[in-house]
Amino acid sequence: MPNISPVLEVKGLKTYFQTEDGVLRAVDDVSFCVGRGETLGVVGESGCGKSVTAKSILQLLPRPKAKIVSGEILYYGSGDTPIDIAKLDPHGNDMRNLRGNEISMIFQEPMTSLNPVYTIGDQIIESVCLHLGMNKKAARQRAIEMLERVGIPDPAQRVDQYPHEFSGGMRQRAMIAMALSCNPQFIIADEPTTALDVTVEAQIMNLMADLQQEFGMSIMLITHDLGVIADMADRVVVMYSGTVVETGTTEEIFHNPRHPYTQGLLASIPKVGEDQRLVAIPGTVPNLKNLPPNWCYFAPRCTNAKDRCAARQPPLVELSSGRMVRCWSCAMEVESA
Amino acid sequence: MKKAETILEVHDLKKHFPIRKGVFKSIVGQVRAVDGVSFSVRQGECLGMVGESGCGKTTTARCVARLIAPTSGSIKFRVGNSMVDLSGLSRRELKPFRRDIQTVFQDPYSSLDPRMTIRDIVSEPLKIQGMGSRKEWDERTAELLGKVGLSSSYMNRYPHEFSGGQRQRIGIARALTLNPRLLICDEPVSALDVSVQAQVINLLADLQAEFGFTYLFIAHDLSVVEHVSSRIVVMYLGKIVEMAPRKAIFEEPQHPYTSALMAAIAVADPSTRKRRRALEGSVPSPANPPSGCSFHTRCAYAQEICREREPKLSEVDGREGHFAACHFSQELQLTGYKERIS
Repeated sequence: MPNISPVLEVKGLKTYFQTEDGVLRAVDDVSFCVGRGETLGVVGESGCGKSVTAKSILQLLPRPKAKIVSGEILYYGSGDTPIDIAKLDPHGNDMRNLRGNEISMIFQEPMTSLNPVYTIGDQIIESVCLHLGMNKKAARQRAIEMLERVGIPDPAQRVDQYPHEFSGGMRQRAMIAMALSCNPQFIIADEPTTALDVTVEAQIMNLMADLQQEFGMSIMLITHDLGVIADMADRVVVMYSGTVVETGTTEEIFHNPRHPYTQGLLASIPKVGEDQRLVAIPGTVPNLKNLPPNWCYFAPRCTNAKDRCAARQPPLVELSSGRMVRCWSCAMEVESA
Repeated sequence: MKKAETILEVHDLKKHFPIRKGVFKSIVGQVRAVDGVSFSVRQGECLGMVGESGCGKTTTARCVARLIAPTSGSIKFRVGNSMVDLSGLSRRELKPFRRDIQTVFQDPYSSLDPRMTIRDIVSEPLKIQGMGSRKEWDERTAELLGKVGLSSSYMNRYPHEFSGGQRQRIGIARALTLNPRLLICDEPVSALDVSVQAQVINLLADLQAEFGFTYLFIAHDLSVVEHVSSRIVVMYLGKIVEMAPRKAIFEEPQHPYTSALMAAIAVADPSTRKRRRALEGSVPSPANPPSGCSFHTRCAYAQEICREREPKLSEVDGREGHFAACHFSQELQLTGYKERIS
């Protein structure tokens, strides 16, 4: 739904890493936008650049190794004039005001992203004091409120406990409480349920859907789990080797996938009640260090690859409004139409 | 159809880990990781095992492979026409059985020794068992690598040179080296990328078709287990709560926990989208399990009797081969997976 007003617009983002073996194009010309109040699903396998994209938006990249080389990350916030995050100093005050306050992040591993030597309460209070300018007492009250809101029993006691005293699901709830504590407009959830069991995953996903209804924030949901995407997302961006290969509404992506990679992904997941042999994508996820320079990055694994796929990278063509595919067969189709 | 013979029979298996505290490390309690599990595996079948983390599936598998010694219970493994109890055997006595039971581990990054070449990794079981000559080891390694879809020219390489999916193939090749009769797969695909996961699942299916392996397949991903298994065991807090043929477990579960698990599956189809019915609360601590039925703290149908008496795992009336441990399995109308897709 590109017609609704965006909260974040990423245009031609390139984030490169300087490594000993040369430049690694972790994110290479990625564009997408997230509408107000919508959930954008970002799907891809390890090394496709989905987490680096998220970290670029929050300017949390490891420096000086990684750098946003070009592109714009426009954040619309509450005002009309967007802020280009890509141009902000990662350590500056402007960026600090955005992080946590406007845009916040839920990380994959709640055990490694919470500080083990501070209580859960301390960690929430810290950001509330910093961003909302509350005093300690009010912030503590806010922390207890948020813990209660995400369904943690006995929040007044649990607020003084350490992360190791929480179970995996509870830790992830605490992470969500922390991310929401400053009323952000935009939340990036990077594999929020990957480390969790199905039943807990369902709890967390229901919780996020409820909170989104209540607070109206936008969510960028990064995951490799197509089930979670089908369940939560309004629109989907499929990434492969640092590029966007397909975008569309969730229905379009699941019911009418156009890129061979998306088709392959959908065919390769086992579905309950269907007994036929899985259709696996041959080969392995490519190493970003040695991508074929001018090829379509998926060509080595594509069963439908033609000569042209090894000659030039396909452009990202728009089939209809908001529906984009990076594949030569679609590009030809659009050209001949 | 003639019923295939039982290859493994586990009876009342228990594994308790002591909790030690204080300067003198005195035992202050027991974690009942596996608490009275009985099941059997038939020749040539794939028995799937599911449950949330901490429910004891991996501990059960480790006991069966005798990587750890069980606290009590028996693990009978078929040798010829008789069943041999592995539970009390010493390391030395177990050695010949290592040929018959092999394991594929979850994490292909930590289960291969980084300092060994692929040749050493895959042929090590032969070396330990003192079988064959060096030349035969190489032939066997090359043959196995071919079977799992890797080139035999990789023999002199080290694990770090391979991707996750390739490493898992090496792990499978190693497990096959001795031609085991029972292959225990402990979360063999959960560390792999989605597109590679299907390759490994297909490989396991092909190997089963070719060699008639028997699998004990553990995974937390229910749709993966559904795809590979013929029968499924559902565990909760160290106990089996339900055991039945695959279709029955998904479509007509007889235990509320199984039904809740199925209702929580995320279906990769937006047209069936509806709110997932999430099970409330979290798994109680296995160091201090609830009285009676261990699921009663989270069960929507719990009655007085569930708090007091522990239900036995027994065959449900009129359903052959379908076992459930619930006082009310006859009365409850559970929907399970149908709830997700209807």
